[in-house]
Amino acid sequence: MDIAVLVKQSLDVQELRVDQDTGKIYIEDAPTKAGDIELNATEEAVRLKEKLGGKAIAIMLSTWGSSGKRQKEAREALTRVLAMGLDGAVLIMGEGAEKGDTYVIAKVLAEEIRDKFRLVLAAEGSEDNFSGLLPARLAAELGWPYVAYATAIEVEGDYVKVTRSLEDFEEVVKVKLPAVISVTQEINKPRVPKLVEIVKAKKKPMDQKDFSPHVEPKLVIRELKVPKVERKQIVIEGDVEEAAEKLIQALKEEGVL
Amino acid sequence: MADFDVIVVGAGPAGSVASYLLAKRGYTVLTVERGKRPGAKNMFGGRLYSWSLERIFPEFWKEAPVEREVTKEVLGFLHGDRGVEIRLSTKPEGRSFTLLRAKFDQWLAEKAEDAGAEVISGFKVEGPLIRDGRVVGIVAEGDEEMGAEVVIAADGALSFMAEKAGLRPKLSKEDFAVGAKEVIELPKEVIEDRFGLSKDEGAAQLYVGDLTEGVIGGGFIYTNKESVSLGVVMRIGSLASKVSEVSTAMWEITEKFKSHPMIRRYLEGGKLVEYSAHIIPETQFMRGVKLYTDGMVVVGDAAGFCVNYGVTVRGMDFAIESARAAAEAVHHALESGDTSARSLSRYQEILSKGMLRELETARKAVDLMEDERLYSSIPRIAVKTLEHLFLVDDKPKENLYSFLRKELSEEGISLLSALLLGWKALRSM
Repeated sequence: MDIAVLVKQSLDVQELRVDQDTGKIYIEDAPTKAGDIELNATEEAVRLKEKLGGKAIAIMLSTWGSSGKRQKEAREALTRVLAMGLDGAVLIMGEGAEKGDTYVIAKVLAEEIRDKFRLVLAAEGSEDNFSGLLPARLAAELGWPYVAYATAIEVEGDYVKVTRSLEDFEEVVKVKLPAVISVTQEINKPRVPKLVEIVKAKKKPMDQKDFSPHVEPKLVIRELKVPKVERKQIVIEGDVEEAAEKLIQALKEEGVL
Repeated sequence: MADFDVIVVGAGPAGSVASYLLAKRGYTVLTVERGKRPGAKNMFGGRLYSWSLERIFPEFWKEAPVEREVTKEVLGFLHGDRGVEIRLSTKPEGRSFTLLRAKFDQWLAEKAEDAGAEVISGFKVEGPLIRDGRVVGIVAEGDEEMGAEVVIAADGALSFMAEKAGLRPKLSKEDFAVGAKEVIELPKEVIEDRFGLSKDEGAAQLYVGDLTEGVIGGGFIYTNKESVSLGVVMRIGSLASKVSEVSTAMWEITEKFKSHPMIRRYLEGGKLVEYSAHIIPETQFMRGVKLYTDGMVVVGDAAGFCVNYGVTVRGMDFAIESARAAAEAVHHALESGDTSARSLSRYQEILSKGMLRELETARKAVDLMEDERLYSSIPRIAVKTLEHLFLVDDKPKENLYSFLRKELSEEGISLLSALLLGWKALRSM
C-alpha cells in the first residue's frame, strides 16, 4: 500500500524577524523547514510502510516563493524526511504558488495523489499558518474519508482504525481506504536520522514539478502585519488612597470596570 | 574502503574551501556542519582580506555576497567622552571587504556542493574516529562511525577534533579573547554619509581606550551595505588578571562603547537586529598546537590561525590559506596512497613557505599588543596631546615637549620607555 505524506515547507517562525514600528514581517529573510508535526506524519508513514510494505512518498507544495534559496531549502527539508526512511519525494514549486489558498492547493495535490496512493498522512496543522484546513479540503477533493487528530493508526485489510484525541475523550473510528488522516504530535516520537541516512537520502528520487493550477484562489491575502500593541502610558501619582481613586476612575473611563 | 576519501568537519571558510578544492579534484568529500546552516553559529568581526580567497576564486567579490570594499581605515583612541581618530583613505583595489558570514559562508558552502561535496548541516560530530593510533574517520552524534582516508578538522576556535586527536594541549585562558558583536541596521545613504563613503565602499574602524578599563582589547565598527557590525573584543587572560578592578560586564562595555559621543553619532537611529558573543582564538600561533597527525590535518581557527595586531585583525584569510595548503597536501597523500603523518607534513611545509612567516611577524606585533599601556596610557596621552595642540584658552600654552614629558611622567612612563615602545611598534608592523 502506497502512502503519501504531506510535508509543508514552513517558515521557521523562531527566526522570523518583524518590525514592531511598521508592522512589517520579513518573510523573505526567514528560513524555511519541514514542520515538526510533519516529522510525526513521516514517522508514522515509515512505520506503516515497514509493516505493510509498499512505498511512502513525501509531497511538498512550496508556497513561500520559488527563489533559488527557497528551492534549496525545500530540497533540504525533503532530504530530512527522506533520511527518516521515505522512498522518494515530489516537490511542486513555481510562480503563483505563494498566492495559492487551501482551495487551490488541495486541487493541485489531489491531482498528484488520486491514482497513486491509498493513504494520505498530514500534520493536524502546519507549523507556520496552522489553519488545519488542507487535509480536510484534500479529502473532499478526492472524495475520501477524513479523520483528524490521530494518535494511533492501524491498518486492517481495506480499513484503517484510527484513535482520535479529542478534548475530554478518545474516539476510535474505522474508515474504508483510501483515506486522509491528520496526526498530532502525540502519535509517535520521530526518529533522528543518522549521518549515513542523510547521505543516502540525497540520492533518493526527488521529482520536481511545476505548479500549474486550473483554478483561481478564493482567498486573497492583502497584507501580512504584526499586531500592534500600544500602551496607554498613564502614570498615576498621589498617596495610596488618592492613586487608587484615580486608578479606578481611569479603568472606568477605559470601560474595563 | 573508507566511506569517503575526505571528511571535513565544519563548513566555515576553511572547511568549505578545503571541501571545494578536494571535491573539484574528484575526491568523495563529506562536509559536516554543526550549525543549522553554514554561517549560522560563528562570530566574526566583519572584514575579509582578499589575497587568499583570490588565489582560489579570482575577483570573487564580483560574485560572492560581500558587503562593502574597505577604503577607509580608522584607528581611534578613546578617553572619557573625548577621542582621536586617525583615518586612512585608500583607493578601491579589491584588498579587503566587509561581509556578513550568514550569507558568505552559505555561498562558499554552495561552491563546495556544486563541486560535488556532500554538505550536511545541523549535525554534530563528537570527535575523530581513532584506530591503532591513527585517525580513520569521525564519530558523529549517536555514536555513529563514518570512515575516511583523511579527516580535515575545520571545527573552529574550540576544536574538539584537534583536542581529542591529541593535537592541541588543553588551552588556557591566555589563548583566547572574548568578543561581543551587534549588527545595527541603518539606511544605505545614512551609512555612506556618516562614514564618508562612496557607493559600495566601506570603513573598518578600530578603537582602544579606557572603555576596556585597562584590559587588553578594544572596540570595532565595520560598515556593511545596510548595517554596521560593531563590537568589543577583550583578552580573557588580561581580563581575568584584572577581574577585581573591572567592574563592568561585557555587554555594559559594549553599551559604553556605543554611547561614546564619537561612536554614537555613527549609530543614531539605527536598529539592533542581531547580537552575538563568541570566543576568539589568540593562540600565539600554534604554541604547542600540531597541524597534522596520521589521517588528519587541522585548519583555520581550529589550528589557531587568528591574529590580532591591533590595527589589523585577521583570521578568515589565514583560514582560507591554510585550507588551500591542506587540500594540496591531502591531494598528494591520497594520490600516493600514503595518508600518514609523514605524508601529511607537506601541509606544514607549504605553510612555512608563506603564511607561517607572516604569522611569525605577527607574533612580534602581538608581544607589543600585550603592553597594557597601549590600552590605557597611550589613548589618554593621544587625546590630551591633541587637545593641547588644538584647544585655545586664556592661559599661556606650555610647549609640546614639556607638556608631553609631564603627561608621560603622570602616567609613570619615562621618556626612554615611551621611545622604546614607539620603536617596538615600528619594528613589529
